[in-house]
Amino acid sequence: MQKGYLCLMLHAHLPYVRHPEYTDSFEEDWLNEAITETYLPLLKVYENLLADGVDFHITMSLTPTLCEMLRDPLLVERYEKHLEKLFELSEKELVRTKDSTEFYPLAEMYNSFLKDALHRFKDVYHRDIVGAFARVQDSGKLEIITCGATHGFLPLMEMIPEAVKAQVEVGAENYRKHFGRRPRGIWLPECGYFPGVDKYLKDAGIRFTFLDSHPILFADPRPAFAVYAPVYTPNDVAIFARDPESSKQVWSSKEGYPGDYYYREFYRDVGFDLPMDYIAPYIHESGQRINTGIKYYRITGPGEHKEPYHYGAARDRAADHAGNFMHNREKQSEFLFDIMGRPPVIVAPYDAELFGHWWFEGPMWIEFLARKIHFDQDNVKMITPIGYLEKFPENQVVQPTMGSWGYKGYNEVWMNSTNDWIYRHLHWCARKMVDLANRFCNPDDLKRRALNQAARELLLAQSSDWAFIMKTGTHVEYAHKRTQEHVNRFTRLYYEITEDRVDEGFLSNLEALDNIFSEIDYSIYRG
Amino acid sequence: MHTYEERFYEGQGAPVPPPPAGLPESYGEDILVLLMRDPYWAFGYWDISPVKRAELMKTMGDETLSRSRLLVRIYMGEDRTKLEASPDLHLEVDVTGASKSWYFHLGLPKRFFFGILGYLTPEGNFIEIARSNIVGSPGDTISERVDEEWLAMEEMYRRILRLAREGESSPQEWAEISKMARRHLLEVEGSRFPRP
Repeated sequence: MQKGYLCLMLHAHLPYVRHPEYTDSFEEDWLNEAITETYLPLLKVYENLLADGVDFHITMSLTPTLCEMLRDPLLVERYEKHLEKLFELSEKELVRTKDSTEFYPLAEMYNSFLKDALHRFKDVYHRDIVGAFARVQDSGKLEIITCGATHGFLPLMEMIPEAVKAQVEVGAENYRKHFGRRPRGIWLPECGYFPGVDKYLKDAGIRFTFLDSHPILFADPRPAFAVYAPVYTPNDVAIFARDPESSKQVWSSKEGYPGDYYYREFYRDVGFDLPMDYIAPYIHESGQRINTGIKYYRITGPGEHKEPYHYGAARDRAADHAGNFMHNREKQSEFLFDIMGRPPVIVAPYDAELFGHWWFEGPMWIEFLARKIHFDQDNVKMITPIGYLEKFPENQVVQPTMGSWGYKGYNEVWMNSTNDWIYRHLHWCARKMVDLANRFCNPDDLKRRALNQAARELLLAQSSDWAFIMKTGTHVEYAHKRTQEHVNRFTRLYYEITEDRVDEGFLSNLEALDNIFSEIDYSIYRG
Repeated sequence: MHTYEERFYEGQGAPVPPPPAGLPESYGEDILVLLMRDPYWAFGYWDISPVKRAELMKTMGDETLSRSRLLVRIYMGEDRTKLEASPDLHLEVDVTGASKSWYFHLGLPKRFFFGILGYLTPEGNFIEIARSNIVGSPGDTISERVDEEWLAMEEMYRRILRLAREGESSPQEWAEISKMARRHLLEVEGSRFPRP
């Protein structure tokens, strides 16, 4: 008898890291790695499940910055070259490891994996990853949702309503550009909620979103079903809150599944392990070593010593872990069903890039989980938020409290001594953008282009990724540079527009560099 | 790209690099902005325009201005309406000096606040320069208010809350919560929960 539902939510996001000014960009590799290791494997999982008639239901955000990059001709061309080079390396690895009983099978695995990735990217998807995800969505098994336009952290722009509105509306409109209709759901950047943000979601036609557990547990009035049923906000947006237990089973760096000793070790990569004269063509052109994605060792244990990876053993562990995860959800559902008198929805949200990129076996874990849920039991089924709301439309109305899914649960990750200085600049730019939108209602073509570019620069400056990077202490210079560049580009545009002296050369250069959101209309900032 | 553990554990970053030098130190505005960091702390930044400084020097005189203290006064209310109608002075922080930002310990979840930046003259006159936006501090615990149509179970709720904070449980734990809920339901009238 069915006792509960599992809502698996994968948040796929990367900041806009397109750098035509460089021939080899470290940051564009974030995208290259994510396509090869996460997005293509997830597509394959979905397609395998569809081919075998598995009734799976997964929700996935593809953020506007990610969709724009995945369909950017320059980045697509660069990715294809990157993948071809990686495949070439995997061919050389077959030769290099031919006498090794331990490593040759792994070299074969990577060669086959990359050959398949190249084939699917070029011949099956015709270089259009977004389109491939859209086709899975059309099957009815995948619900793709949007996100803030550039992943701007909304609680820290609350005092400028037009800025919040623009992040939501530009995100929703960009979804329409890529998927042909408006989105039904949104992933609030960093799960950042503040009371009142639901009004902007409702205005954009959004019906549901996700939050961490505590903004719902601390909601007013007290939500009767805790995090195990959606609630409606005062503006009728359904909120699905994270189940802490299922999250921790996957997320935890200490006890979570991805730390199993049989799984692949992320930090041992041939990009660092092999001699420079051999690996040089496959690392950064400056000679700086980088991850290639070809990794031959398993986690093994907490120490430095690492044993060779064994794919079959890791696959068995992924199957075991999927079974364990499902069993725990079954037990949880049984107990909750008794309490609630209706099947609970257990919400398990994760960064999509955890699966495949960080946790190599993650995509196969998802596939095992979906198959086991479909074939092995009747207690728990997978569901999307819309699916649950259609079955259980009556839900309590509460006001969630402000919160995020960051460390300590509120805004501190994005506002602390490493990054609080950015808000003076971001807020000034946002207020000036509102001024521009109010002042210039019928500009000439050149000024309209400048106004739209100013909106792009503001949005790019607002990405929560920059503040996050400053906090984590890695790539800080890059985050500083991006914040500074977009603020300065906005500022120059602002003065050129208001002083009626738009420099077309400068503008054209910016349009080529920061070419995101071709559809943008700056008037979204009009108050 | 975010690592999965970074969501939960504070970054082990190197010493904080200073902000890049290529951004304006001031936008020439009279402004005070408050941002909530968490239920207890707010971050504030402010600025005083050259025009305002010149005006103050003219009206107050150089000596009075140099002997005055720059303050941020923070006012509190239980809700927005009360805050706007009759704000209570909650906190006064002397911010005289070079800094143009501060973390304020407000200490009260589920309240509303705004701040006023101004000079306090040696004679005790407060000259307002800028008034901030209103901010609401988020809750840090479960609400005391229950919805009569959707009665929640106190103890069950607290246990789930603990799970939310610690993120782990066992089937036994869920069994206990379930048992507790059944006992509670026997005592509740008018709830939307089914009666066992």
